[in-house]
Amino acid sequence: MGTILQTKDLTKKFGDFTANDKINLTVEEGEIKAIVGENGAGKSTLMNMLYRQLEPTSGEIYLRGQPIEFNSPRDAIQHGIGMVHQHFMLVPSFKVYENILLGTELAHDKLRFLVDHKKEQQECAELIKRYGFDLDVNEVVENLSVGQQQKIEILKMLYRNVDILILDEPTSVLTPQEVDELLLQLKELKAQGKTIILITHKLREVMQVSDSVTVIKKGQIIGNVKTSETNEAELAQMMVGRKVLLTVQNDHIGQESPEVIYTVNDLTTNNTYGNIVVDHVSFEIKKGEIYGIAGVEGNGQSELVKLLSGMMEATGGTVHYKGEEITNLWADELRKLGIAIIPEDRYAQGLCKEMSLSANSIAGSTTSDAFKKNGIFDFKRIRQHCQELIDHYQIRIAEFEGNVSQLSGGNAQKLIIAREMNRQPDLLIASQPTRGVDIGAIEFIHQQILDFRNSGGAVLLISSELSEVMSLSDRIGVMYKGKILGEVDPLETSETEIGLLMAGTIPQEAVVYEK
Amino acid sequence: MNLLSRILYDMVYHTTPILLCVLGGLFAYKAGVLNIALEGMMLAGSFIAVFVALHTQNTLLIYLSALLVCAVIGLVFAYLAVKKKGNVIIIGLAINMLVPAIASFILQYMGVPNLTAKWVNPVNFRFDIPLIKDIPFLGSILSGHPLGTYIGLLMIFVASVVLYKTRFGIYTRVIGESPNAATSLGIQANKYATWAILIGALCCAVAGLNLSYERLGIFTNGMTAGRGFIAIAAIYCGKGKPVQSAMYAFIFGLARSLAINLSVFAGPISALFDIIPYLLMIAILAINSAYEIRNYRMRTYW
Repeated sequence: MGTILQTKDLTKKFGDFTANDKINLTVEEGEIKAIVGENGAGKSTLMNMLYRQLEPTSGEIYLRGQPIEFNSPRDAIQHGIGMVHQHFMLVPSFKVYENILLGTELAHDKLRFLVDHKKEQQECAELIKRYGFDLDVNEVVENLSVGQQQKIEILKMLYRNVDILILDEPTSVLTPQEVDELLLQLKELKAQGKTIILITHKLREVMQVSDSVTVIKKGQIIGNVKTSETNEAELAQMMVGRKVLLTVQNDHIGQESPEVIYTVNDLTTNNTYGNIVVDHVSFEIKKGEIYGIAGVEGNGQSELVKLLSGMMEATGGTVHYKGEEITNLWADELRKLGIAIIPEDRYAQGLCKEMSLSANSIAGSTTSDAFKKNGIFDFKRIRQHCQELIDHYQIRIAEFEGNVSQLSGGNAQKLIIAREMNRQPDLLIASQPTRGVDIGAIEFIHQQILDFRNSGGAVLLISSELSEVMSLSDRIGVMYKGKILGEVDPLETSETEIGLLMAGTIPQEAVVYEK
Repeated sequence: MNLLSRILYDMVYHTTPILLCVLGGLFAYKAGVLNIALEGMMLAGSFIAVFVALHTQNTLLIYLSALLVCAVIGLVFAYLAVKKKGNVIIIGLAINMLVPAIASFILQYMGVPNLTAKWVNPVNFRFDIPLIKDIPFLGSILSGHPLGTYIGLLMIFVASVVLYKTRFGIYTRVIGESPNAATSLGIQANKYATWAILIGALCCAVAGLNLSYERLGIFTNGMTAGRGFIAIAAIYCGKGKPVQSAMYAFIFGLARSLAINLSVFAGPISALFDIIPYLLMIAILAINSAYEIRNYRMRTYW
């Protein structure tokens, strides 16, 4: 076994920004190589160059010692490099076999211009059997779970006989059980002689499955280590450049006040296709409590947040806040009542990228008199307000008068949190508060949420990162297919047990009480 | 012929140009390009066919010139919209305004209000299909049409096969539905989008030619009268599926046929019947849309 893939001084620039700076990566044949780094470190850029979806600015790539000259994904596949993207490249309305064979359709024996659907089905069924996957070739992709869709992506590459399989953040959308299954499958593929490159920021998985690790930070390789000779803490330190707390300090004291501040009762709604996506959801939050909602993405969490933040209408059920009914109120009405909202997608719903920092800092408070003089915006006061937020929440900015688009993901998220917390709310609805945020900012955001809780605030925390929900919450409701399947105490429940709930089965012992 | 078979024959007859536009235009729709230039392309086909018929009686030449001119317009549209990523609405509008402007300039230059190919006798273009013409009732509806009608009916089948059973059709649907999936497998979206637009342009040529040359031997400016837009409505309502979209084309054809046949009994207000197809278009679009959003619970604008 020798070196299969090597890059020499590989560089990619986007304008003035250097995304990859002289990367020298070596991948041995038949190994599982993990590439770790924070969001925006340049991992995906590197992989997209290997897969030729991006053209390198300079530098070279060698495959088995030969410089590669191909210049399209199709060429890359023909040379044996396949990629499974973080966002799946599937056609939702097509069937499983059509997706696997997309781009390499099998022609009819006699009528060469026609595609032979029957032959395609047989071929795919055989492929699925050979690799021991569990899939029906005639299923339409949009009806499948994310885990199954990922299998199609892997099969797509296996059908094309790739030797090197690149997986970009493959586990971010899976349940813990599905993650274990995937990692097993990767080991199985390695045993069959495939080389696997795994891009991830989840260090636990790296330790479990990889043979060697390359750490990337700010577009540069800052370390190559053998997995057996390192540990999670060391890798984390390499990624961030300083010591980090991998788990947040949560004493789980809460304030044990019996006062319920927020009650959701039988809340129900449907999506555009008429399917029920939030199904009789009920829970309550007390003062000084963090109520977490866990679940695999796409099980109704997103819609639940939209309902509770006034972006979507409920078809049934009620929401009460401080004894008052607030079902189907609009977002501005909710804010006036003292509810702060950290939305799921910070650029779609939280900020206006092409507007100034100061304009964004008063979003949601534009009707308040605090920022007006004689009914007209007082920009001096608004700027002052914005500066206060920046100072107090340590938001790193390039230019005060510039737009929000200058901010990194973490600092943009901090701006939202600063704005919402500054209103002194009594209830905080936080949806995916640390998605796509660097480790340093995650620490900060978690601390903010805990401080708010400790000062008597109530928090609804929705996150697809199970570890986040488990380390912050005082109680956790697990969502599955639009329902809250069970409610658990994070201190007395293991990740495996929650994983079972996330997959739709109710374990016997762990559940505190079942809904 | 009794009134009923008269109405149904006219339905097929008046559906033809819309049907051709629909079956050609749905390829671009499936490829994710909104081609609102169907109207202009059809008018170009109408004009060129009669214009060439003024100089020659060679049917093949007439067909070829209409196809050629529309193909050029289609390529211009594809170049600007696909290659140069221009705004399809503006490019489409430009073509829709440019074609009648050029036609009217040429008419003015020739000093005539419209073009008339005197040798054309539409009855000569209609021919019967053996076997089918002998079927009672149905024969009198489906037989005795000009060539364009048969092309249109055949196209329902051809479009279905091409769209679902050939690589070209599969890739066209993929680039419209998930362009990233196409790119990741090396399917060149630009190439397929260009061909999809071109197919639409060629079908519009036949549609326009049917409207002016095959039916009347006369070209009048603006004679397409919004049929291209009705076709877009039909494609939209049928979600670009060949059979469903064709069905909507027939509904619009029926409306037109009713307008013509019933106006005989209407006397002085008969002109009012001409608005039936357009009213129907608005009604169908409104019902269709209301049905689509019946489960929409989001408060966002779109």
